[in-house]
Amino acid sequence: MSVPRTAAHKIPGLAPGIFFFGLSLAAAAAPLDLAVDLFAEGQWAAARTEARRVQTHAVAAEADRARLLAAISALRLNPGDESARADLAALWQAPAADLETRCMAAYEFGLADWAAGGAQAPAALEFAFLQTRQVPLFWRAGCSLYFYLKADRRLRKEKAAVWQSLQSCRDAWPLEVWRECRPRRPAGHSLGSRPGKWIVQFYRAQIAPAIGARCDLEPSCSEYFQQASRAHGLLGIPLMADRFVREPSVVAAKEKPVEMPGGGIRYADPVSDHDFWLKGTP
Amino acid sequence: MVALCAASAWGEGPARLALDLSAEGRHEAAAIEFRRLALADPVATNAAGWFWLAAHEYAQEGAWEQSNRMLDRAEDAAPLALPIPVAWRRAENALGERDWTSAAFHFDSLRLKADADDLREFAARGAAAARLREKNLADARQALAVAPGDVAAARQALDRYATGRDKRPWLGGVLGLVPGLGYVYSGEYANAARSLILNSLFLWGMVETATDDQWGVFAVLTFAEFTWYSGSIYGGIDAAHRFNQRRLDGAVTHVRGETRLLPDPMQIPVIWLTFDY
Repeated sequence: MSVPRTAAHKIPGLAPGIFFFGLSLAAAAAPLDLAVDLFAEGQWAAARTEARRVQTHAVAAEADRARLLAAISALRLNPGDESARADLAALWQAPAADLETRCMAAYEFGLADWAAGGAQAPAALEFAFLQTRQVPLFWRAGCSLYFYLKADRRLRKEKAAVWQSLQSCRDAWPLEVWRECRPRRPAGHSLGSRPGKWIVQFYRAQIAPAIGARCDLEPSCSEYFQQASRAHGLLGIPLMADRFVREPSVVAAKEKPVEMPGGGIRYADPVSDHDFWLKGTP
Repeated sequence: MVALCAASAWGEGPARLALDLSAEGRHEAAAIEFRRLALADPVATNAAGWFWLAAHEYAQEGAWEQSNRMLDRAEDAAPLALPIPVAWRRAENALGERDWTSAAFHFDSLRLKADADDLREFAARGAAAARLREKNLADARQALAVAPGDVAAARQALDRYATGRDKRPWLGGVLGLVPGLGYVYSGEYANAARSLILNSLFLWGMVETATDDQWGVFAVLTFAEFTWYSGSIYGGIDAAHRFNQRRLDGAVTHVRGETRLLPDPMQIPVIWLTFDY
């Protein structure tokens, strides 16, 4: 028996900076300028803080936009953020809110819900696709919905009219929109980095609790190994062995001291100091 | 001391929070406060000053791309207001990004724009350091040749670097086949001793367990020995690279000298750079 294909097998593509958000807000909301700039630069935490700051002082439409930006920034920081998703859903379904704000909230909620395996994604994307007057959002909502329906035959039949409409306008979507919205498999660790990950997980779960923190360097030896194996696969093993051999000398030299948040001093010995020549950097 | 560029003397009052955050080492937060001031300030030259300060704070965090973006904003706000501070910040950012060619270009640009000898010397030393990082000794010497003031110590450092010899990483790796010898090649004797002892212990353990037909333990020790042995080879190569890097860093430090530029917080948003000797 064949398993029915659904969109839940893959996660939706994510627009990296949703530039259209900035375009649509720039003229209307000067207090949000800084938050929008920070968002466009990918400084999600700062953008969220700034948007919340505006939200506390603003009223009506401006407060909704600030709430929207705060929620999207929170989702960029942590894609599984439930409260951010709830905020977006509330904004999408708030009839008093500005229509474009609702459409953006619906679109972002649709993507987040899709990634979380929820069932409301098609309705949210359809709302954004049918209601928005912003061309970039119209393209993206349509393209994302197209991919969603393409992977779900049953839903495609239920939404035959929307599918027909998506089919007729798909030729207008630019290539970058296709690339942005195309669903992809969740990123995982590379094959070479997996043994390193397993070893570190075992060490942290079974050995470290018994022997305590024994590394005087920053990052700690287990973190160093994880970073090295993530960057270089199995080459992380000699990198780690080299570090074990060097550790007493680095501590004795007392160069680059780092004050740790919980008190105490460690000495900086980042992976980048020992693989810069592998990357061809002078 | 050298005064550079200007806006109106608005004082540090509105920037108190940003300056406090900066003093606490929270440079990103300080940068955001400066950006807020820039967006709120209707005077273009002031806005440029605030953006420049945001760029400076981002640079303290090593966020070079953000810093350069803020310098662009400063230049967009008031195109001719901050030629020297912007050139200096761009040069330092390029050094931070290891883009030596751009760093040399911006230091050269700073030297041409500067009207004081101490600033021209600072810029020439910076350009020479960037050329030295590129391993372009001829251009580094040429950069120092146009520097006003006494740069004899910098020239001597360049000469010492030119006459010294780098270690060959491939040779370090080959010598590392004999545990510890790669470290010895680069003068790291303590590391060499540790590598030799560890490899010897595990090899001895392998031989003993093989003799006693304890093949399970033998397999574990072999894996561990493989780790130490590959570490010896990698360490031989890396030690040579570290040696070369330290030699280069030492020469660059002498070429640049002790002088550093800093913005004076008492003057902001006028960007007033002072030398820190």
